[in-house]
Amino acid sequence: MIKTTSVSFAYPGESPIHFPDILCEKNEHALILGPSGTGKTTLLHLLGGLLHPTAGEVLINQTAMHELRGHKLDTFRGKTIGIIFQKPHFIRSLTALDNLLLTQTLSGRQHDKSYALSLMDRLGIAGRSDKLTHTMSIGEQQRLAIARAIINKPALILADEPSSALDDQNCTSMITLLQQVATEEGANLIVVTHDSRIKNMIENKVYLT
Amino acid sequence: MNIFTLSWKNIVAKPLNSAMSVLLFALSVGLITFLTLLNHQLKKGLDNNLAGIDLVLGAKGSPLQLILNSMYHIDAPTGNISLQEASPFLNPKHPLISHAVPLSLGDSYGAFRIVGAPQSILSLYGATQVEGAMYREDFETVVGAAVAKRLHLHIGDSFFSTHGLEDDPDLAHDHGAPFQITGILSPTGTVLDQLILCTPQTVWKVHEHEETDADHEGDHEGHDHEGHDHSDHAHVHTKLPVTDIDSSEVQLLSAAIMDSLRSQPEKEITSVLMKFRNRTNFQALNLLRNINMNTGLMAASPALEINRLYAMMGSGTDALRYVAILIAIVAAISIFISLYTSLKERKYEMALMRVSGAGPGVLFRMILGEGMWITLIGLALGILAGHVGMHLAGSILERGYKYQFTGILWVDAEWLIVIGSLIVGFLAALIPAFQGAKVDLHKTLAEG
Repeated sequence: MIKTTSVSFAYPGESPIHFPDILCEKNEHALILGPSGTGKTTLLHLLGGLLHPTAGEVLINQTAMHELRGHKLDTFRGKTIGIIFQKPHFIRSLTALDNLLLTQTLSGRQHDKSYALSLMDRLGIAGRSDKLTHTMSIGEQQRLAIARAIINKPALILADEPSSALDDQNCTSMITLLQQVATEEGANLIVVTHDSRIKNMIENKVYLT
Repeated sequence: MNIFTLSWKNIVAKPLNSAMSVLLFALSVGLITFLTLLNHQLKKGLDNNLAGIDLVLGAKGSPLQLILNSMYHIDAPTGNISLQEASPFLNPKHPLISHAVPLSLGDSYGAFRIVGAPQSILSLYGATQVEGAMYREDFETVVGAAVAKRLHLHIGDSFFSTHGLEDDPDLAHDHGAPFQITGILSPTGTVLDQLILCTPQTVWKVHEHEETDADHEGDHEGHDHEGHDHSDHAHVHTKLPVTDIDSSEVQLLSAAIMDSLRSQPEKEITSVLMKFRNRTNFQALNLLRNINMNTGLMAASPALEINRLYAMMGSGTDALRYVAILIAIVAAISIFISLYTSLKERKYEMALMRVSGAGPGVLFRMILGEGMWITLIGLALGILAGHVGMHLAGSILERGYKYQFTGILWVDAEWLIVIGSLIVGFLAALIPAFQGAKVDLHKTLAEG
């Protein structure tokens, strides 16, 4: 369950942005919509623990994330939150599989190669495990990014404009895949986008203005 | 995945970025290692050859030259001294001098010096084992291990000496008796390995022969081909057992030679190596000054002269060492720059690692690890290069310095190189590592 209450954030020297409250019950997904410059990415980063809210509360499965700092926050983020970014970035020097294994290790878990491989299989990129990420197609990279976001069995999956670089067909399959994976993992999915193609795919919507 | 494995993969993924740093580091470490090995072996060689000798007596000239010539056999003699002048110091009952070993130089064979000396020279340098027999009669020789090896000499071989201390076939004494090899010394690690030993009388005879040669040309026809030629029986060598040198035999033989020398005061020798009975004796300490002021001879102290030599050589190796340290600084800057630029390229990667739960410390260790990998590879290559270089240079140096150089050794000072390099590498990586650890998550990820 994700719950935010009167969250606001102010960049240094700027007036604070006030965000609408978000409530996501277990297994619910949400869509955060709004034109550019309305603080979509800021809200995503607040939800992901990459920024601290100036005021307000962010509860993730009963943990008050806005109160966590430093090492505790890093560990919590690693274990609880998976983030998919607009453009898939990976550690260039590592293979697809090693990128997943590193993500496991960094969150403080033992690495589990067979789980990582089964995840790649589930996402249709089996056989790509030994490839360097920049040699994979953009579609494969998107799938690997999803695999990375969910490999630590997070409670919350955040996706930042995941479909902006995709054509209609890939956009639909990407969002479908995300929803399906989130549901299978029992995680809340929150997608931030200005892409109107997604609007009808997720029920729960939050509009930023 | 271990964070240092990640560091390693980051280095390997962009080998050219790190190659320059590795190369510079290896160059600097290699140079310092080479100098360290060289200095160590030079010093050890010089020290080994000190052989407890307290004073060297010779003709007036440069004291350093006298020492280099008489003890290291690498410079020309200062001249000859008459036995008459030297005989007081050859007296076994001399109150201050316990050992006196007269040397007669002048000839060589295959660029190795022939030294006429009583057999007691062996105990002076601590030679304990010999293959074959001791030299007893004139023209019998015992050769050092390196001489035998280089010139492929065996017991029973014979050769004609060359006049002078350089290898010049035009100056070969092709008349007179040839030298007969009776023994080959086991390696001693001293200059003895590079010498051909015979009785002092032999050296005189070679030259007397030459002086009278013109007058009695006909007399020597019978001698001309008397000796066996070295090549005649090159393949029928039998190896004799290596036995301990019998010290009482050496004493007896030496005593006989010394008696004979003292009975011919008109003859000349090159120098005398001397050991004091008691080094702290006040009179012994004054002997050097007394000889130099009150006699026509010159006395020189090996310890003093060798320290002077160290000081002279020191400034040369110091200069090289400074160059090496300069290269080390450039190498450190190069590590710094290569890490710093890669930091900018990989900011997003590092932010991603933070997102996955890595604290700033993980990023710090990763970048530090990259610097340390570069350092370690450079260090390993440099140490290897220093040793290989020393080994290759060894054979050249051996001819010049008359003792052995090798690249296959490890001296304690090399640990200092290892530790110093690790510290330099650590410091070079420190600032990039701090920068990397401070990556601003929100800003970096928002910029994409």
